[in-house]
Amino acid sequence: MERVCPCHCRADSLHGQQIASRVSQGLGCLRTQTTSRTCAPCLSLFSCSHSEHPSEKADCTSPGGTFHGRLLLRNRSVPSFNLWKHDPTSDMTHLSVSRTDKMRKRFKVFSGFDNSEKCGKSGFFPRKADEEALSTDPVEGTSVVNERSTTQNNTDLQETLHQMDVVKVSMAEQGFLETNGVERHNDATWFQAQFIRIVRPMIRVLNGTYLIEPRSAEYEKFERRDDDSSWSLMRLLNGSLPPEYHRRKISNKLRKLEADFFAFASHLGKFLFIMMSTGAILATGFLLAGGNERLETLIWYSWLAGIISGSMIGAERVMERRLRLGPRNVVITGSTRGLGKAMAREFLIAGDRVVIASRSPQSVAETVKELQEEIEFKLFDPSQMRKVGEPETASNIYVHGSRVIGMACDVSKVSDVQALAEFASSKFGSIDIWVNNAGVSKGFRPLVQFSDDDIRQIVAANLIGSLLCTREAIRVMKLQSKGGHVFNMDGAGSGGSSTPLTAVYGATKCGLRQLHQSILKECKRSRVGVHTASPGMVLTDLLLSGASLQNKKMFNIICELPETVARNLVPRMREIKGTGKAINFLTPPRILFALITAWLRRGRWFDEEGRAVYAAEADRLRNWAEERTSFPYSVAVDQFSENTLISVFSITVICAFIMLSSTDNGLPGT
Amino acid sequence: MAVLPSCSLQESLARASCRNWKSLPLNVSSQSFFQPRINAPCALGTCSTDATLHLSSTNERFRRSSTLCARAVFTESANIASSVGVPAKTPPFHVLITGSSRGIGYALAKKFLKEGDKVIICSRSGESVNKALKSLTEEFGEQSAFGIAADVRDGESVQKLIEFAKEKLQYVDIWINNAGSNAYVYKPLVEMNDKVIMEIVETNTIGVMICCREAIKMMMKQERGGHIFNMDGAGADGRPTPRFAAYGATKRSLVQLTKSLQAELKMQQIKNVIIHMLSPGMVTTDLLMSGSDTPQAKFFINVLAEPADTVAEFLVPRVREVSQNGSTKPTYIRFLTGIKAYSQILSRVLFNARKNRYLRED
Repeated sequence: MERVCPCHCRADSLHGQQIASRVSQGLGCLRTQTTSRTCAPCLSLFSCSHSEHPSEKADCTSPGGTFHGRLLLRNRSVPSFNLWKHDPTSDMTHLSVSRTDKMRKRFKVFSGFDNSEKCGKSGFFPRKADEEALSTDPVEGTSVVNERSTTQNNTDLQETLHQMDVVKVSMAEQGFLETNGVERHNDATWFQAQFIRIVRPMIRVLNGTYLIEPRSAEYEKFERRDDDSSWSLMRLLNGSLPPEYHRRKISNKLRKLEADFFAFASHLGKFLFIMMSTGAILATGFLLAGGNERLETLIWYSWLAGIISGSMIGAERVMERRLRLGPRNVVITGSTRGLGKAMAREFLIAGDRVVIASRSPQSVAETVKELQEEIEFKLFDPSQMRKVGEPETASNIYVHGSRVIGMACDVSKVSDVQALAEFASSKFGSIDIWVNNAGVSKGFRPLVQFSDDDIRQIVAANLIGSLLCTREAIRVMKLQSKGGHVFNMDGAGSGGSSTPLTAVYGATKCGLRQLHQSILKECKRSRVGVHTASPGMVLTDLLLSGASLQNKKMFNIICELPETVARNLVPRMREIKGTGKAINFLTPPRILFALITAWLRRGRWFDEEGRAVYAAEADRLRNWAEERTSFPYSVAVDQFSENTLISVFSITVICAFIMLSSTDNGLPGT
Repeated sequence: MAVLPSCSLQESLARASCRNWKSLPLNVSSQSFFQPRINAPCALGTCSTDATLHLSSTNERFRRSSTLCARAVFTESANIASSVGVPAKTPPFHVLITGSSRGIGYALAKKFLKEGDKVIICSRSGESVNKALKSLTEEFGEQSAFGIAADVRDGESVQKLIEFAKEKLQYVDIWINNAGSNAYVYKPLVEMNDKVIMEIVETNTIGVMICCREAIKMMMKQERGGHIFNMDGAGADGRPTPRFAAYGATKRSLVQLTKSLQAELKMQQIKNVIIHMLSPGMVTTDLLMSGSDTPQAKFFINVLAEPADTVAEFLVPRVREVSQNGSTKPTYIRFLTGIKAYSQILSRVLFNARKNRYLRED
């Protein structure tokens, strides 16, 4: 059977390079691996949704011409999994695409970012097929050809679906997988997988999450088999069926408890650290004093003074943060994909109101819808998820007031930019942060091979776009009482170093840096802050279009996923003060760390042959939401250094000052 | 610095000497100031194999060496490369200058013609090209100066320009991307008109990019190879340019573009095309004079600016020199070097030299 990726991927894209091999193996489309679908009756790779046509319908017919069913692809952001349902009355197979909170939550447990799993079996996820059968959400996700089944009661549907299909589908898919599931590793990724396999449990043990998710893949498999083979209504009735629902509830509670515990523990840790450091200073003071009583009292006083001043500084910082807490109104240009989208998401999580802007109205609409759904479903905060069937009310649509709207805008057109500024300020009242993120690079090749249009587009988007947007943003912000902040994104070449093969892009970015300096001088006394944000190298289409194998090897070392970068940049953007600041992601320590660990980073994003081995966006989001709930070490360090070290330092300085001045006077004979 | 005043005292002398430009060594580089090459032509009164000697000797000599330093060509490497890439060429050169119907472009064209080269001038408006061409042909004859109307922002127009050049001159040795615009507007960005911003960016950035691309394409195929010179401007060093932010950004981007292209050509192993930077400093053209409405601007124009002819007199011999010796090293030829600028500012502050030179400052 010929297998073709129906998404018509462009041959030059990253996606296009990989699809041939994966399709021939019966695996899904790599980029959209989570949304690849197979037709259950004929087991042909059916369709994979692609960012360019997210809402498409597709029919599947067997080679004999029998109609198998219709697949409706929706919501590429939140992956949906198919269920084929055979209706004996109409002799048609229906597909129910569903997307549920529960499924999503459970999915988190075993969709860890594990290379071996991804390489080997990521084509489709047989485990998930029955996952979703456990509950469906009729409001959003279900789209069944047969209208009757959608009108069914929620629980009824859940049961019937499970009863009728799960066994068949999962068995069929599994069988298929076993014959086709080839374990494909290359050395680097294999090594990494092993490494992660060893280290991951250790980390889990250390941070305490190990106990909460004891389901290993093996366990899961066993459990499912058990379920599948001996499932019966009887077991449900007599209560011997594992009470999935309750178990989840408990695990949810545990999760929450864990989060609370860690919040408490980190506070306690900070407190202990401060106390210990002041104690250490005190001890040194006493040692220096050498039993002189007068000095010792002085040291005690200085310690007290240090504590007071330190806590005052700390209190001021906390107050400031609280006062500046309110939601910000953010405009991000070029935010329908890549870093812009990740930043928009990050702002939304923080509770801000975001305007999405991009050239194509279609992609703006899609992105807004997607982000809107993410807010609605409260993907970010599992504890706040709306219950299935609960009506939408104003209070539960938005996560603490975050809103997303969008508008098509070509940044190189004056009228569009003005319209965007007006739109944002009329909808939200003001604009607090404007991020000039739109950028075009048009691939890596010598200048001689760039056409007039390419050059024009690059310059228009990068230089003219930033000029016009900056001007418009400053115009709007100047009139606002609280001012605002404009961010221009740096890129390769900003510092003035040469960028062969992307000469035009580099030149525009270099020009922007100078522009920033000029505008800084022009807006010296106004309330508007002009800043630069440097994301370093981010794995987006901008970077990857036309990247060579050599480039990709380098990307492995220094590149980061857009979500990671956005997560670092956005909090700093929100809390920026003054003007002329530079927010850099790729700081020297980070580069140093990347270079030191370069060997471990081989094959991180791309394997030896330049194929991408990182997860698709939707998949990443889930992993990332999981990470967010746990307590990453790096975040702790960040928080730590910012607030406490300054107070500790001030205490030390004051202590030292008082001690020195008193020892001079106190020493006999001087 | 202690001897600087003496230098400025003899400012008039210095200016007198810069009129006999040709007598000055053309090949002096930043390195050769301290460690001069033996084969450097030494046309100074006292032939110097050790320029540092001058520094410590008399004021007179210091004056000369400081002039020498100020007017030096800062080549990135002083070595004359082997004639692998561009063959050493003999004059007359065929020169193409964009935006050369007036200002520094016109002055450059005039100077090249004076040296006996053949020049193609072009500009956006056919009228001004004709006018400029008329006055040039009157002076230098019909067969050395040619002109055509061309818009550098338009790829097709640039191709037509190249066809015209091939038809008239067969090949082009030196291509100077001089066309630049500030739309004669000096305003904060916030008050700037949309059309103005568009014009500035399109002419200065897109225009130069397209010209570079076409010039590389053409020169790659030429046996004689070729040299492309991009004109820098205020802001090229990355310093802020308030009141003409867009212009500064475009000029800064040109410097980076030139660097990238140099690296690109190296990567592609194209050795017969070399891209250089040319820095005219401040020139008293309309472009600059339209911004002379603040006391600060007037001060700097009086202190630092020079007439276009003076600048052309300085730049053209150096450009020709680059083409003549077949060097494959990219150069950055500056008229207004940092030392010179600072010494002029200092002499102005101390002795009021150059006050009200072009504009009344009160």
